Amino acid sequence: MQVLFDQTAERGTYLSWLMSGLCWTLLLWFVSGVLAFAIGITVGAARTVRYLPLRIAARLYVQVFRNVPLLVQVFLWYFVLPEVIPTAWGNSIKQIAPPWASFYPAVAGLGLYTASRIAEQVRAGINSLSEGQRKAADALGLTAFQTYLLILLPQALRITIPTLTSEALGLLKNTSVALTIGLLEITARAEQINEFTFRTFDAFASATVLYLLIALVLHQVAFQVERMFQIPGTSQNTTFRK
Amino acid sequence: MSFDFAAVINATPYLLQGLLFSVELTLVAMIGGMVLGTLMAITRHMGVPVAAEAVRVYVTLMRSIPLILVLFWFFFLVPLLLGHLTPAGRSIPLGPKFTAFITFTLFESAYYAEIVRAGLKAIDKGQYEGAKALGLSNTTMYWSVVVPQVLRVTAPIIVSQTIILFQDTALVYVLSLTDFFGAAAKIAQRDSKLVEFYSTVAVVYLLICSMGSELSERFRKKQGYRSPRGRFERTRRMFGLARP
Amino acid sequence: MDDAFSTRNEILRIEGLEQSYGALPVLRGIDLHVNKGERIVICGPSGSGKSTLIRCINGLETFKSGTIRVKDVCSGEHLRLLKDIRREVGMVFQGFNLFPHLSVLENCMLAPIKVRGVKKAEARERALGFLQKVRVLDQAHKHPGQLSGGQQQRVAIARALCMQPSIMLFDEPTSALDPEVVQEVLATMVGLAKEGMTMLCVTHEMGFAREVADRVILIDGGRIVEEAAPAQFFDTPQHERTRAFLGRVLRGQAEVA
Repeated sequence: MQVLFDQTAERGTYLSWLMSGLCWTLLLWFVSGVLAFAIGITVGAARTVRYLPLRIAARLYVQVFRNVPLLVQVFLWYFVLPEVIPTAWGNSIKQIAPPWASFYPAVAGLGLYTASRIAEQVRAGINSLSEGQRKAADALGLTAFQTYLLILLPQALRITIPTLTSEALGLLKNTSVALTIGLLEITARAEQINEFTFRTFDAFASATVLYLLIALVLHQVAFQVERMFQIPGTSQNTTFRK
Repeated sequence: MSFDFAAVINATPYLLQGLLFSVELTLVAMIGGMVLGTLMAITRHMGVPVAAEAVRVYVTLMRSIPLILVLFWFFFLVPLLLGHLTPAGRSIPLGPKFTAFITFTLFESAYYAEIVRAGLKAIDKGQYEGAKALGLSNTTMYWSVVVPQVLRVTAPIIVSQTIILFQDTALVYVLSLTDFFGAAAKIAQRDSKLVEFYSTVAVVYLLICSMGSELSERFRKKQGYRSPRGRFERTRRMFGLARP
Repeated sequence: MDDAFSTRNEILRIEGLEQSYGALPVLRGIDLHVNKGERIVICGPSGSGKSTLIRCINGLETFKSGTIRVKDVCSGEHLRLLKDIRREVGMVFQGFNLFPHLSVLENCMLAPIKVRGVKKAEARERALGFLQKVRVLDQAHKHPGQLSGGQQQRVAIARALCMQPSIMLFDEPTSALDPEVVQEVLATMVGLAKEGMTMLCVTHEMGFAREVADRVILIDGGRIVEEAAPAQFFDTPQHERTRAFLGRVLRGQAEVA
């Protein structure tokens, strides 16, 4: 790991490169994650409503965003979107300076792709609840929206915490895709360091360690979250165990 | 805005070549990954003293880091390692294709291993006991009794994982390998027809993967027999842990 | 001592068997011997250790101390010998444990081929013969999932018999069956007993014990409380606990009947 402390051409250290990469990874992860959860929960719930058009729309969403590779989706957001929208908007998008020019498309791609996966988990969670839950909510006079917000989703989300943790970890790993459109996250920086110093092992080992550390923290947090939200008197599936 | 269909049609042979590589890579990684993954899962399930721990570390590691990083690792390091092994000491150029085959097989094996391991745990304990009581050796027990059942039960998840694998093959782009996506990207950038080629690629992936998902659904519905105590529900819950 | 073995009459001998689950003792020194052709029924309250006992015999459970000898092979010494033991000991489970992905016939042929090295044709003959004996020959090509519980258990019996064991162990074979089919399985077991099969049977079916057993054993709290011929066991039990147990069981069975 010596190399991290060597000087770069610009009087910084390689460690600072890696740390900068870490910041971008975490930022990308967080923002995409929020987007993905928001959309994913909505779409997942939409797949279970009684209103058919909404169900179909949700089904289409999942179908499309799950079955196109993430890399392709990111490229579509970065390269194709500015071309197919009205010229004025397209031009203003192209004006955005890097690295943000890479960041926003990456968020869009990661967020919508992960949302489709989360939607499926949420749908499975809601469907695993007994039909009686909805009937009881109906009988009490709750609207559909209230039913989902207050009754179905709180239970479904608890059930799916292990798989949602898995998705969060997956999202972290997928942030590396952003390097293909020029975002200098951890893996990109590691490759840069390799190119400059030829210390291949050190460079990639540092990146590996970083990912492992973040994953470790994620698991701890997930464990605490599951404990915090556990419903007394039920035994949930155990949290994602490696 | 115009869509240059002709350019896409002209490029079809080159695109198909790339697609062929994508499919090749997927098949090799699936078969190799399943074989290796099943062996690892059995090792871990049996609790073989040192090997089970080694498998656990390996699987955890592979599932915690991005595929792109693993690709870089293997791409740069495998030739170096092989070079150390030979007397000459120089790095052997393995060829990017071969490296990709090895990398994907090893990477996917970790995911298949987890799927199979969950399947092994989900099989009714009585099956193991019935086999042992008959005096079957461990090899026979796993080969003739347990693994056939596990494969039937996990078939939908394995298909899903393979579809994800097929999507992941696009990542060989970072190694400048020409798979389906790489082929499209090359032409798109050469001829400045980004919209046409990237859209086409997206649509083709969409079609192929959708068909694969349909297949997976068919498997799920077509579970031929039922084990006496209905372990499917438990299996399905466990399998929520599919890798993205 | 070893005279019994040298006359090749004693099939099973257990001495001082002890086992615990963690701190909880389950078997507290069991002594048992079974001669060729004998039919032993083991009964007792749940949690008494009777299932653990017979599962120790063929190595499905390990034990803390004591010895188990099946014919000439001592259990617990070497893991390799476990295979020899399992060849001689057939087991029928409460949950049948048939292999669902194989046909009934294949279920019965698998072990003879793989363990005893029997040729496929001969294994097939043997399997068909035993399937006929337990009267499920017409189901030979179906899969277990297509059979009723009673049929499945009879297939399980045939499967164990195909290995031609020296002794058959039954672990509550009828407890998971619907009452209507319990009789058909018991009838099969009675038939086996009448042909001279050495049997060790854990069961609650007292009628079966009375009809077929040479000795009935009550296990309670991990110890053998009473061991006697059926007539004495049922009509003049010696121990208080035996009387209490019989009272409970027979009352329960009378209510069902």
